[in-house]
Amino acid sequence: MKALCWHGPNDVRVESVPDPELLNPHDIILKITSTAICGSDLHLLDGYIPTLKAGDILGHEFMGEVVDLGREVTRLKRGDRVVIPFNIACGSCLHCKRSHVALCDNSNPNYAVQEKMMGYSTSALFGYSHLYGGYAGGQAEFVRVPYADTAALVIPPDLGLSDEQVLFLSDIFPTGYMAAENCGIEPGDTVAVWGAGPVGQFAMISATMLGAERVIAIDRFPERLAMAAERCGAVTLDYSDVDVVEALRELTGGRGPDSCIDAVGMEAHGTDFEAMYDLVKQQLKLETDRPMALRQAIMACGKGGTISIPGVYGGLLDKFPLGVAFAKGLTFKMGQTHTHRYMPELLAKVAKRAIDPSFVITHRFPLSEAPKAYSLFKRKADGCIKCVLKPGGEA
Amino acid sequence: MSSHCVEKSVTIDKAASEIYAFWRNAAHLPQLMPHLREVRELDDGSCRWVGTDAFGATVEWKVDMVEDQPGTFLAWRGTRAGTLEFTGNLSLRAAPAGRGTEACLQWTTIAPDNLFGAMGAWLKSDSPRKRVTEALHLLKQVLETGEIATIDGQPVGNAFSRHKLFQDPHNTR
Repeated sequence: MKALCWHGPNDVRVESVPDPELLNPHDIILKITSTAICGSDLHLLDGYIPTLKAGDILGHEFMGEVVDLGREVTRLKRGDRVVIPFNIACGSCLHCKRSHVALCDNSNPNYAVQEKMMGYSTSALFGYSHLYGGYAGGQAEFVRVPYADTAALVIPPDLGLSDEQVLFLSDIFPTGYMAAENCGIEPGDTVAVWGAGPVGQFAMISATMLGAERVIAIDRFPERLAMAAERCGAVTLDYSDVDVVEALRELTGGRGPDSCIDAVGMEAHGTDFEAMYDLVKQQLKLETDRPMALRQAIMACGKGGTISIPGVYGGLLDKFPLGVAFAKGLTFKMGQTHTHRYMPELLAKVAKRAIDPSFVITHRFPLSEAPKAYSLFKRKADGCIKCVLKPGGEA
Repeated sequence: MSSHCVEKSVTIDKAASEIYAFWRNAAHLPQLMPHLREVRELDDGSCRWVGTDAFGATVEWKVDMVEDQPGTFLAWRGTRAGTLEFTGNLSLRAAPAGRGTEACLQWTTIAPDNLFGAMGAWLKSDSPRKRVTEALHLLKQVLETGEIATIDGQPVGNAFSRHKLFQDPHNTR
């Protein structure tokens, strides 16, 4: 089959590799019909997530058709059209039983490396380094899906939904939704969202769904801010143009936002001295993450507020204003999304036509052009916000 | 004789009786300790373990059960050509508030009390800490999920570039 393989920083190639096989009794093989590139894939492309190996197949947002089943799969059958969550979770450990699938005890074959780095191992992820299990990802024609009965969300044919309407249930829609849910939104709340990329967009829409009075988008790319205003009803702030902390204070009658969502993560950009400082330290390997957005969110958040972090962080942060967070009594909520838990209820919203998640898509490519899509997405060129890849080639 | 003891715990979301029964069945042990090829119960109640040492050489041990309290505790000792090489035990107790069972595995490696003996044992030990951690993780995986998580046999891109000479130097694996 054809698959998108990582070979080093800024070097991804579409190659011919062997087809995946069933390796465990609860596995299925999926023929992929649609797959997407996630903002977090750019951390891999840029080489900031350790333990990738040359030849690893990337991709953790995908859906398709079941073509083969392990002998102990009971809930699925050949031909089922399914969306697969990006976390790999066993469904039977205590964390999974509590729906904390991102904390699964059993799915990561490389638990020893994670235990060394973090004390405990977490769930594996598709196509996201050997630290997270080393499972081959879904930017490919076929993929092996472990613990399939737990993972697969079947899309009933009678819902009449296209791939593009349901594909993002695999990651970015639940990720944005959990980020908003983590804010504990109450009537009258203002939610400020750093990063108007796809996760930020879904966080804003979800915050409104969960009762926020107002959402504020912070970015500097006009097409992203325009999407936030038009599709999510957000007030927008261009951080290259205004003092964000001051502007948020004024927009909220001096109270500050009740919740701040960092949908940027470890590779924050900026235009000022602080951005230069972090870039230099990261390049010199003196810090692993550039936490500008997070620092600003902590400074801007109103007293007693909540910082919700769906953006990915990889390691150690520098100049982290914990004293500010302490003084204002902030609450922090973060972590990989417990995707499985949110998929059914969000599918129900899509089925009711309460939301059409395909609005974030700006570009479509056949799988063969995936390296071009990565480059375009990384450079945010041509107004690129979200790329969908079609392994069938009919993009 | 000098000895080195490793003790690790894991919580398994199964009843102690089920964990005990799984471990008590000698045929299951190679699944949990990949350096063992075969474990067979002998007529006198002891077991013959056949495995490999850190250098890949075949080794045989005679393992005797020294204590057996069904559902809570098992202890064993392994000898090779009549010399005691290791002792071990598995203890099980209920975790609080229905959170499963805490399984604690203790493993003691015993080496002859001279410099060469100690060095030889250390070289051949293949990291007892790693073995004990691995055995507990695999025990938990098999009992909770019915399988062992693996990526062995999955597709990868161009194998030539996977050689370490061609890898990104910043990559830690």
